[in-house]
Amino acid sequence: MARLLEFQFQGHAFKCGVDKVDREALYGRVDVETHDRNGSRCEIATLAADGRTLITSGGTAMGYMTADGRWIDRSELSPVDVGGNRLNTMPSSFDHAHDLELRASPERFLDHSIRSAYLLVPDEGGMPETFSAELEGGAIFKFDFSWRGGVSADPAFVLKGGDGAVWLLVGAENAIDFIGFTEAKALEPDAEDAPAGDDLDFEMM
Amino acid sequence: MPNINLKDGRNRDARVRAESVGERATVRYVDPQGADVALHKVLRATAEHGYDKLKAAAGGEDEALARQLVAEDSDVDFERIGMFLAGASRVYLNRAGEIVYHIAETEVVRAPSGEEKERRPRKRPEPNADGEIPVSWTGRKLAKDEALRRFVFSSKLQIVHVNGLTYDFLYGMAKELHEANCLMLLGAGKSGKEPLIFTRHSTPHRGFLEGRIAGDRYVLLLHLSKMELKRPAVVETVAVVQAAVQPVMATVVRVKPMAPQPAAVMPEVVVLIAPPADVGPLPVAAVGEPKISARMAMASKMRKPTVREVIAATTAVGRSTGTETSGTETSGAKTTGPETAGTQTAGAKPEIAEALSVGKAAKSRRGTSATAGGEPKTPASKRATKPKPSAAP
Repeated sequence: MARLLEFQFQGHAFKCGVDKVDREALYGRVDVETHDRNGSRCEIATLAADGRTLITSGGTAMGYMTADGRWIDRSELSPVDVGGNRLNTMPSSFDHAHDLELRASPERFLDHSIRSAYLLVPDEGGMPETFSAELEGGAIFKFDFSWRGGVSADPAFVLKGGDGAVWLLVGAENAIDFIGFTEAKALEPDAEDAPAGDDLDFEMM
Repeated sequence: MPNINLKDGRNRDARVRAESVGERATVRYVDPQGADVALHKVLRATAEHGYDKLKAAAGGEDEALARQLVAEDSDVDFERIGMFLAGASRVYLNRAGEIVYHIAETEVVRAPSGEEKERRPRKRPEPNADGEIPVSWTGRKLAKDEALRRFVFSSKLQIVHVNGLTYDFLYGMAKELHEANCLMLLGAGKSGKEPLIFTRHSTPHRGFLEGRIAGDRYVLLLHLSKMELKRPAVVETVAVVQAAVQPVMATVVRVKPMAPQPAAVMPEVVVLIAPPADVGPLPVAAVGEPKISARMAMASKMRKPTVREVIAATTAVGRSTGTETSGTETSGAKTTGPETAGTQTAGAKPEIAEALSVGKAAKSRRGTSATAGGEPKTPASKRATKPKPSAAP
């Protein structure tokens, strides 16, 4: 059962289920199997830097450490922004209604990279006619979305796709700036163009 | 960030920079004193202290292993557990837990349904964005509003000049695209149509170039996509209809390829009540193919087709196969005709597929198949898994 998102549009409330669509759902997937010379299946593992510790799946963990090397539980940590200001947590987007007031132009939408695509399926009540008409006319609505809740939300867009379906696209904004003549960048050097360094051989002379 | 060898619509090319535009994380975590903390990867368990190894050491009995764990804590390596893992390597282990130095990798291609379609040696795509052959404009423009509703742009690169000459080059591109208010599809490789690959072994992406200008400043943005914005196909439905279509194609071809068939020479029409038992792996709907709706497939199973539908379907088959199958009529040995025709028809006109789906039942009812001579050697299950090449990356 898809989870329901609640929206408000010009005083009309409606709910939509969200169904994730990814590459695997559209095109399938490619699994890689690894075999040894005898044709037996191999498993991937990790070899630690000491050259003798073999670690199989599930053998590693992530942990937070203080500056003096003390392990600290995640629950004792606080999220802060770049300036060091404490951040408040926000609820999941499924726990409250979203006003669809903000619209985005195609250029504004294209400033974002899309991470997840969800089909929006209205519940029995359907979508308000005015909202459907706006989507039909090409409107793109923007709101903040957070699946689980947390300290930050992602920009999300509601629009009608080329296939006629209504989509929820969740992404992240990119830092895109106009550049001028004086802002030229350097090309990344090719591997073969790299300085020879210690490979210089004076014996050949 | 990578370089890109880019060619414009006037066949001028230059190497320029493709810069990442992704935002960095703005949230960090601090301890109760407000000091920064660092995230580390640590060792939790080693392979030699895994369940199988310990059980074998305990004589293969769980009871003995349990006693050993309680008595000796043999599952914990006190010397190594908790150590920071940096500079670790990826290795492969055989069933005995030994490192393997020579491996063979096989790709198992699966349909959206999870069914296996193909096995092949692993492909390792090589970069093609900064090679000798420049990435070029394909000439295919899409309005911005159309493109954003057809593709999921999962990442972007900003194309940046590296000197005065390339400034003029890129500014000209941006200006042209800005004035056209569209995105330009880029293509790589000799054909100029291949998807873009920036780093070794990475997923190929389709690239769409957008240009914006403001005075003498510009933005040239490369939108990368590896997925279309479309609903997943109803694979079961497609499988039923396609499996029913392919055998009958040969029947029609053998009667007379080009001419419309009068109702009198058509095989007896029987309603296909249930999907055939030998339906093979489910195919992937190719890009650009019309979807065969569940409603249509259901209708094809539930009712008899009209004579008009059968004639229309037969005529369409003759048109689509006439050129390629002209020799099939007499020889009966040209096995590629029916397969080609089946693929074309199934992808081209859903209504044809619907009408033709009844022919499968007609064939089975006749017992001896008129397609025996022209039946493709490939089993139906395999044919059904050969989709048209997708435009998807």
